[in-house]
Amino acid sequence: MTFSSPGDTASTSALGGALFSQAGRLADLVLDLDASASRASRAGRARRGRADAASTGTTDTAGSDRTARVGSTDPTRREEELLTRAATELDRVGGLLQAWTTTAVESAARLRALEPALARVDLVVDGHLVVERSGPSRVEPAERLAERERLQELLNRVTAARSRELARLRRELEQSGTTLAALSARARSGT
Amino acid sequence: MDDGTGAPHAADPATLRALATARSTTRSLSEELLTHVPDVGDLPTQRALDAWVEQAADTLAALSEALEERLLGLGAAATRVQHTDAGRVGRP
Repeated sequence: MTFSSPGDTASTSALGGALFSQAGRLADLVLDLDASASRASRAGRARRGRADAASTGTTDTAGSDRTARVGSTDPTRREEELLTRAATELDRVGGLLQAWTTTAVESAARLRALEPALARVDLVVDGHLVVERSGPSRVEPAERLAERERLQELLNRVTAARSRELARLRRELEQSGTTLAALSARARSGT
Repeated sequence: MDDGTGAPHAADPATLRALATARSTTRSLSEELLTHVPDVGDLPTQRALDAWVEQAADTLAALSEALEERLLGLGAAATRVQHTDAGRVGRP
């Protein structure tokens, strides 16, 4: 029996898992950057509050804290945002690849389930078609024809589900690729 | 990079360390991604996936470059602030 190549589900599953893991690591980097920036911002506010109080001789810490907050920004905010967007894309495509792996495994299993019925009437799958095995057959021609039509219908369902998932995967990969290309451009242009 | 007042940020060491870690991590993730050779068993989808992997690796490399730029900018600003502070201390 030949079927359009089922691919290597282990390799796509491995990539999907790696993308989940990479997305998690990027999210951790964002947390680290954000935590460092927050600590630095708090320390800066405290320093400026003390300096203002010393220069004016007042203890208006609320006022100086307000001034400090207005003047302080997260120096790594842009990088955090870019990392977050990249993590989202890696996570999304990781999920798509895992879903595709499930579909491919299920399609292969459904195809294997047809094998006994195909063998009983000397039929085989060639690509997306159920065809007669070469050589003579003892199976009644009418029965063989009826089985061929029935099994072709079952095969069509398997291939249609697989084709739909492949088309969806392609569309999503193309969209995600465009998003990632825009992220690359932003990262390199400093915007 | 400034703090909204035109003055450059003097990043604290923890921020610089976090940036350095992020820079090297994104670089190694980019390289790691290119070691994968997935096979979906359908030529048009395979092409789309190969192109996506290339693009994702490029994006991670671009992020690494952006993080390096920020690291250099904040590191230079921190050095300038240290020099200014040292000058103030040295003045009568």
